[in-house]
Formats: sequence, C-alpha cells, structure tokens
Amino acid sequence: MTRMTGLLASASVLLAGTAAFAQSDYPSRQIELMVGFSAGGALDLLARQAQPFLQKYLDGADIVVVNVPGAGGAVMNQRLANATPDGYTLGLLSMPGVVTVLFGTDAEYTIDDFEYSGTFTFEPHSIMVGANTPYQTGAELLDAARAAPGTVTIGGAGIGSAAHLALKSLELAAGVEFNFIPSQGAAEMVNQVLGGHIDGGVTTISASYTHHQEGQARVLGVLASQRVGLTPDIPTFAEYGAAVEWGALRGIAAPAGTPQEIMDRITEAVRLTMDDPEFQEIAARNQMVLDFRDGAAFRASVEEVYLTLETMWADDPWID
Amino acid sequence: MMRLIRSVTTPDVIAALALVGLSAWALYYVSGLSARAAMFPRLAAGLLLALSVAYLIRELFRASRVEPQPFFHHAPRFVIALVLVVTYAVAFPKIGFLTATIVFVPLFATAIGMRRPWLSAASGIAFTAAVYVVFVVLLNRRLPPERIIELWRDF
Amino acid sequence: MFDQLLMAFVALATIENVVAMFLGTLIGILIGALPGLTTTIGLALLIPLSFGLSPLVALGLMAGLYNGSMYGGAIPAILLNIPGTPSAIATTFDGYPMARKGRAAEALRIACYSSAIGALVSALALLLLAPPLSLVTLAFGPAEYFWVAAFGLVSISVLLGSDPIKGLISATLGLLIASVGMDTLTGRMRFTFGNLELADGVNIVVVLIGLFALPRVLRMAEEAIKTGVSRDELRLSGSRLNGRALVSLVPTWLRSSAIGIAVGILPGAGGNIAAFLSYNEAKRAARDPESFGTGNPRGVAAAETGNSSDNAASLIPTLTLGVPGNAIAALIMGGLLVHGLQPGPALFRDNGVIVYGFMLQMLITSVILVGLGGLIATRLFAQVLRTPQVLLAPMIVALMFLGLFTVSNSSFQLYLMIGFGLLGYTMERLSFPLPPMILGVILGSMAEQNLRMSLMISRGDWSYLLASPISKLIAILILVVLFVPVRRAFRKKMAMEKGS
Repeated sequence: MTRMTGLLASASVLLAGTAAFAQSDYPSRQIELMVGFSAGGALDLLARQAQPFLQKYLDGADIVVVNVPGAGGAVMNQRLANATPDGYTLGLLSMPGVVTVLFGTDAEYTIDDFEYSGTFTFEPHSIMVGANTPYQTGAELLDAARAAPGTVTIGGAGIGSAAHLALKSLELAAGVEFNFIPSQGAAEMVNQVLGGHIDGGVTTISASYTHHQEGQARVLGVLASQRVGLTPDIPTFAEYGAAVEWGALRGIAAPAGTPQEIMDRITEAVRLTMDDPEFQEIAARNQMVLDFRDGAAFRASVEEVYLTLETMWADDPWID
Repeated sequence: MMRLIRSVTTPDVIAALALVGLSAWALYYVSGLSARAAMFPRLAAGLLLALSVAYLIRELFRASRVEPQPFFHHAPRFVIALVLVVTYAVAFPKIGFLTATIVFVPLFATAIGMRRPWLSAASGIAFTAAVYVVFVVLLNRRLPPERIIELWRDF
Repeated sequence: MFDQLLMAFVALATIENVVAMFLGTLIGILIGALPGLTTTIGLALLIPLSFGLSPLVALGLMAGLYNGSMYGGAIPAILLNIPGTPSAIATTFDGYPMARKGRAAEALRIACYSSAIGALVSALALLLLAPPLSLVTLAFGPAEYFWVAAFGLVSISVLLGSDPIKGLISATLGLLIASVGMDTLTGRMRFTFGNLELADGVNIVVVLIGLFALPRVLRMAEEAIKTGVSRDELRLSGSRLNGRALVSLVPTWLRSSAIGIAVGILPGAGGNIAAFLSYNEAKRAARDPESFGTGNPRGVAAAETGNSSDNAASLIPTLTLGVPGNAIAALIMGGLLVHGLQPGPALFRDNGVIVYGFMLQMLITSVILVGLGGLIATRLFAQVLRTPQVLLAPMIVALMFLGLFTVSNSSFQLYLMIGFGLLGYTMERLSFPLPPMILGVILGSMAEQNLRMSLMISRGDWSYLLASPISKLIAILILVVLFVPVRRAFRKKMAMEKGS
C-alpha cells in the first residue's frame, strides 16, 4: 500500500515535471477541441465560430474541432475526462447536459474529472405554446396545469434531458403537474407544437424565439431570474411566481489535472474572444445569448446544478 | 449416432439454434426493464423466438434429406481477410490513417494471392495519395495523426 | 415571388456559382459512389468548409452534393451489388441482375435519368408548392407517423423473398436492433451493456455498410479474382436504351416522383423509405410483378426516382417551418445557420434571393446530373471495376472505415461495423434477405416511439390513434395493401381450379 502511494506520488511528481516543461511553450502543437455533437448542430456551430478567434488569442495556435457525437454529449465528456491533462485536449462542455447524464445512465465520469475554463453562452430554457392554444401568459398556463394536473401536454427532448429536467424544476417551483411528452429532439417537438398535436414544449430560448417572432407559436416565458437581453419582450417565470434558473451554459473544459497556468491562458483567450466585436456580431446573427463566466464561476454553476439534481433524484428518480 | 449428429448440424440448424438462444436471452433481458420500456423489444423478441423455433423444426426435418452446403467459399482466405480487416480497424486510429492504409492495401492483396508486388505497392501509394488529396487538401479534414511522423520529429 | 425568383436566377449567374453547382454534383456522385461515404457524411464534411464561402456558393455545393449522391449511390449498387448510400438499397434489387445480364450500361443510364427526373420534379414541388405542402407536414402528429411506419412495415411483406420464414426473421432481427439504445420515453438504456456509445442506438450507416459492403469484400477475398471486370462487360456505349424504352418508363417516373415527394415532406422518413415504397408500388402496379428482382428496368427507375424525388421535398419543412425532418435536412439547415440564415418564414421575406437561389440550385443541379452522370462520371466510375478485385477489396474497406471515422471519431463504431459485416456474411450464406432487416431497423423505432408518444398524449386512450382523418386513411391503405395479394392468390387458385 505504502509502496503503491509512493509510486503514485513519484509518478505525479514526474507528471507535474513534464507539465511544467510543457506549459512554458504552450501551445506548441495542435490542440483538439472536442464537441459532443455532430457537425451542423448548435454546439458544433459555436465551436467552429469560436475556433478562429481562439486561435488568434492563443498566439496563432492550431486548434482543430473534433466531433465526438453520442449520448447527448456524454461520449465526448467521458473521453475528455480520461484524456491526458496537458492542455492539448479540450472539450466544449454543455451544462446541464454534462450533469444530467450522470443520473440513471451509464456515464462513468464525475464533475470533478474536469478543469473548467471560460464560458461562451448561457441560453435559458423557455416554454412555448402553440398559436391556437388558449394560453396567453405563463400564469394562465400554470393555472391550467394546476387546475387539471397532468392534462396540459408539454413536449421536449427525452426523459432525463436538460429540457425534461427544466420542466420538472418548473413543476416543482410552481407546484403544478404537466403531461411531459418526450420526443426525439427539439425539432420533432417544435413540429408537434406548430401542428397542434401537443399544447406546448420546452427548449432553449434561441430555438423557440424565431417561432415566436413568426407568430407560429408563443413563448410564454424563460426559466431565468431576469429577462434575456436579446428577447426583452419575453417575461421570466419568476415574474409568475415560479423562480427557476435553468439553461444551457456552454464553455470550455479540460481533463482534471491540467496545469492552472494553461487553464488561465485558455480562459483569457475565451474572454478576449467574447470581447471581440466581430465575434459578438456573429453571435448576434445566430441569436446566441453570450455570457462570459470564468472557470471558477463555471465550476460553481455545474456544482450547483449537480446538487439540485441530486436532491431531485433522491426525492423522485425520473428513470426507473 | 455420430452420423445422425453430423447430418443435423447443418449451418441452417446451427443458425436456428443461435436465433432461439438469442431471442430467449433477449426475452430474459427485457424482463429486467420497466413495463413501458420492455413492451416493444418483448414483442420483437417473442416474434423472433416463435419464428426461429419454426425455422429450427423445419431445418431439422430437412437436414436429414439435404446434402449440407459448405459455409465458406474458401475458409483460409476468409480468415486471412477478416484478421487483416480487424487489425486495420484497430491500427489506423492509433498509428495514423495514411501509414496504415499504405501498408494495408498491398498486404491484403498479396495475402489473398496477388502475385504482382509492384502493382500492389503502387496501388497502395496511389490510393493513399488520392485519399489524402480529397480528405485533407480538398475537404480540410483531420485524419488520425501519423505516429511515424511524430516519432521522426522526436528522434 | 416571381421577381425574387428572377433576382435569384441573376444572382446564380456568376462563374463561381456555376462552378459550385458542377463541382457539388461531381463530388456528390463521387461520395455516393464510394461505399462507406453517404450523403450525410458528405454534407457533414462540407459544413466546416462552407464557413469561408459566400452563402450561395456553399448552398450550391450542398444542393449538388445532395442530388449527385442520390444517383452516385446507384453506381456501386448496380455494378457491385453494394448500395453506395442507404437510399440505393432498392436499386440493387433489379440493377445488379441487369448488370449480370450485361446490361450494366443501360441500368446506369436509367438510374441517371430517373434520379435527374425525380430530383427535378421534387425541386419544382419545392419551388411552387412549398407553403401549402408545409401545412401537410404539420398535420402529421405521432398517431399519423405511427401509421406511416406501420405502412412501411407491412410493405416489408413484398420484400420477403422466396423463403418467408427467413424474411420475417430478418425483419424481426431488425426490430430488435432498433430497440438498442436509450428509450427516450422512459430514459432507460436497453441492450447497451453499460456502453455509452450505444446510447443513441445503432447508427443506420453502421448497419448498412456493415451488412452490405463488408460481406462483399470478404467474398471478393475468398474468390481472389486477380483481374478486373473485362472491357466487354463494361461497354457503356451501345446500350439498347431507345426512345420507346424511355417512354415506357414514364408512368413509373410519375408514380415514384409522387411517392418520393409525399415521403419527403414527412419529417422522420427519408430517401431509403421513399425508394422502398416506390419500388413496391411499381411492382404492385406491374402486369408482370414476378419479373421484378430479375433485372426489370422499371425496378431501377422506380427506386432511383423515389430516392431522388425525396430530396428537395424533404427540405420543404426545413425551409418553410425551420423544422428539419431528417439528418440530411438538419445538416442543410446547419449550412444555412453557418451564414446566420435562420430557416422559417422570415427567411423567405428577408433573404428571398438566397432561399429561391437555393431552390433553383436544387433544380439546376438535377439537370446538371444528366450531363455529368450520363457522360463523364458513369464512364469514370465504371472504370473502378476494372481494378483487380483483390486490390479493390482493401480499398473499399479503407473507405468504409474512413467515412465512418471522420464523423464519429470512434473505434467502437468501426468494431460494430465489422460485427454487422459478419452478421451480413452469415445471413447471405444462409440466404436470409437483408432488406427486411434494414427496414426493420429504420421503421421499428419510428413505430414504437410514435405509438407510445400517442398513448402518452391521449393518456392511454387507444382510440386517439384513429382520431384524425389522415390516420384513418393510412390505416385503410394498410388494409388494402394486405388484402390485395390475398385476393390475387385467391383468384389464381380459383382460376386453377376452374382449369382443372
């Protein structure tokens, strides 16, 4: 046992030594930025749009976006957790996705397996209803669900997804019960809402807002403590008395053990990217809700969501 | 007795037995799922069990009458090809696509009987070069990194 | 609308736009023709590239790639019996028998014309009827989709082949494979054995390429033919395709285009289902159904028209509603989003030139396809077959693996593909038909998801499944499809009894 720890200790000294050697000239070779979704998706677009800016602010480093799709990003998360912590393997994490798959699925990593860097976007989840439904405000929707529990049909990506847990948190906060209809993804849900097959759906505000602008559907509110800058006309559910903060926080992470100096350099590069007017313009065109948080704040949000879900799971596990 | 066993162990009978086993196992597996999650796979596995039992019975009756057909056209070459394909699948993400392919194409051809080594080697090089041009130069894709180049650089 | 159309046409008349459409179509044929590279993979490869291009150039490449690859998939399907894309499975049924009878050139030409016509009709539907057709999309909810899936599953019966037990086993195996992965309706993992990479189920590309291409490679290795196909067998000129033969294909073209467009506007379905359904309908409508599967040109025409007429139509819900119906449409939507173009009604209002430009590109590339496919590409790719098979086999393996690896970056998916290859090899040696299995995989989860979703919406009330007129209509169609062969068999029996 003591020999084992001794070996481990010397190994970690050795690792620390090589890391110290590596970081002085970081980045000296190609950096892989992994994305847990296929090409063309929201996260992939974010990664590819940020990539040239990150390269610029990391002294012209060579950054390549690598798609590792599967299990709502969990395949990538797991690979990131097991990667060499040398700053050359990074991942674009999506929270709460990184946390939700830890409950009731086969994911084998923990939230402590990562070092967290800067974030790019925070997109609150929102509730939308079909244009032909009677619900004009969030209050009306909550009242209807309260009056007849389990009759108002709200769709969203499958059980255990960020969208499902967003709705679950809203139910808990407002003391109501919806009939959640799990779909294959946000696109299928939107189709069902627009066609009047279900009453409403839950997805991020950037995905629902265009349909609101078109009058195809109404976005009744966002699950945030304050209104979103890009969508000032959409109230929050806090205004209806259900204070829930729930959304997709997307930022860069690295395997646990990546030297702090390297993490600081990456966070700085993310911050400079976010300050770049050119990047801001691209983000605005894609209706991304930019929100820079540093590594400590990113980690804090992940831990907070983890604790919330742990309590919710202990109370009423959503996967049997 | 031995002759009887040999006469009923046709590939079809073995396949039918494997299918019966698979569907029985699948039925056992879904019994551990909740009723809603189990409904559809249970239906599929139940159907498969019924069909494969029917298949087994039919083949058992037919086996004694029909001369069994050989399963492989050429077993040694099948094994060589399969081993090479698996090795290649394991190797290229590790040692790099171009390195692996430039070796794999002529090796495969030679192993199954190609007698013109220069043509094989040239084809391997030409094919690898074409892949490189299309994927890396035109489509700007990242292929698994070439270990040999890294080794060379470190050296 | 027409002034926007005119402006779009003018915008397209630049050298780079024309080059983009030609290049896109050529790349599409190439990608479709290479086993292992599919339309989805090709578009996924293009997306990162399109960042640096102007929107219309990028979309021109995509339109060309989409239309080109649908025909490209037919080339190896006809010449090698390996469908180049999932949509080309039905093309092998009659295409390969034609090639074996020395009619490869004719089959390729029919495939090319049929693809072009399907794509053209579909693009016209997109241009002229997109808004009304998008309403049809919305009318389909879970109950209606369940019936669509059930209709597809019933049509498997046409594909069972000479041994119904083996055909049904193949289909049920497909259904079982379809239940692998996370059950989105309960969150439970099924048959994943703790492996996260199985959580999304088995990728259809893995199943398809594994089942169809790998057995063919192993077979080539076993036969170890050191020469390529001789020049005589590959004579592409002097095909016996004359005007009268083409005229006889017109009813098939029309019927299959209609089916392809109908399938296209329904999210969730895709070119493969369109091809299967139009093949089935062509067979059902024929006076000589038994000649299908032995090299009937109408079989090739039906399959290729069906899969290509799905193309532009499947973009109708994407462009008009902003709701992508399948993986390909989602990628094209990604291609629009890259340029900050949000699909939906606003796109028509604010960026009419680009939307109509893209629709015109779908139209123009289908015409380009006739030229490129008929003259250059077919000749070029047919030469591939002159490569000695012992060299061709490892190259197919390399492309299969590379195509999958560039999108998944996962070794596990490669091993899974080899596993399906061995399954396919075994099934082929034991004369199990493969198409029912593919349909089982595609339609199994569609049927399950939508059935259970309907029951969740109705809170357990089964009558919801037949509540809408569309549901009733499709359910009646299913009964008709089931009843027709029974009646035909009954009549035959009656006639035979009368004769004796």
